[in-house]
Amino acid sequence: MILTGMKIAEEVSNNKITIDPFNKEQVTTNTYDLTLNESLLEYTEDIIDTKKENPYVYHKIPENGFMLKKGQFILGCSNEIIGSDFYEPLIHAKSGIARLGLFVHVTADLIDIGFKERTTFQLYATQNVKLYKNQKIGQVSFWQPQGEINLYAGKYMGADLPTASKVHKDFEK
Amino acid sequence: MILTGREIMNEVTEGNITISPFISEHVNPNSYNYTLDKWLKILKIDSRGKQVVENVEIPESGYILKKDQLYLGNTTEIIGSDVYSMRLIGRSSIGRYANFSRPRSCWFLS
Repeated sequence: MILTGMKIAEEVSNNKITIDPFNKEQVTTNTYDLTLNESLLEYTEDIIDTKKENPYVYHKIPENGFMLKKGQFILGCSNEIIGSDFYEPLIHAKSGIARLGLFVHVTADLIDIGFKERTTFQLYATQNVKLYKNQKIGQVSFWQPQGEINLYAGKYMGADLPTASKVHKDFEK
Repeated sequence: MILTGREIMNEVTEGNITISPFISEHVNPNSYNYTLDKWLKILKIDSRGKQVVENVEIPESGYILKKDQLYLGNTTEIIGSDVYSMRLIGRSSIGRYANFSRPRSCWFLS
């Protein structure tokens, strides 16, 4: 079961869904539009070792835009803090963005129930694409869960910037 | 409707979902973490233009995936259900390294 846009807005008023800041004009038929924050994160090594923490740098999108080159991969995040203790959020591209050959997530679109932060976008360009801060880039849908809920308390809690992979922590267990 | 991690666990116990081996630490709030088995298949075109498949065993020291190359791998776990449709998703930690765990065919219908 997927929530309609009207139901998303209603559940934001009921505090069952967090979308902050919330702007009525960003409600679509059955999603909420997410905008791109100015911070971007880029890994600096040629080879990524999943067992290690990999170095990265932050960039800020300038007023005249940031060119993401064909084949380039970078992390961004939404301006909006999103999440819910009652519904499961799923991240999608805006179709207008997908039509430019830009991925906003690479394989991982499911957000854990209970995770409430600025969502990290995994931006991958199949051709040269210029990005602007605060532009609408993605959308989030909310799904009804079935079963008893255990809220997220994992390793990405507390994210307010694009957050690099912490997969190396899986090897520490 | 998406099952919560608890409900996935209940349905494994009930026999409505198969996850084998099943490790309770792999249960998330609303998914189950699968792991990578040791074999990779690399699809290549040989000098005569014929498609060939190379099998690689991932060594203890790890294996480097090359940019723009498609690899097939499989889960260690046997996963399935006669009752629920499954959706295969990569882990966000892996997506954050631009590794597509499933470029196509993400839906498995029971």
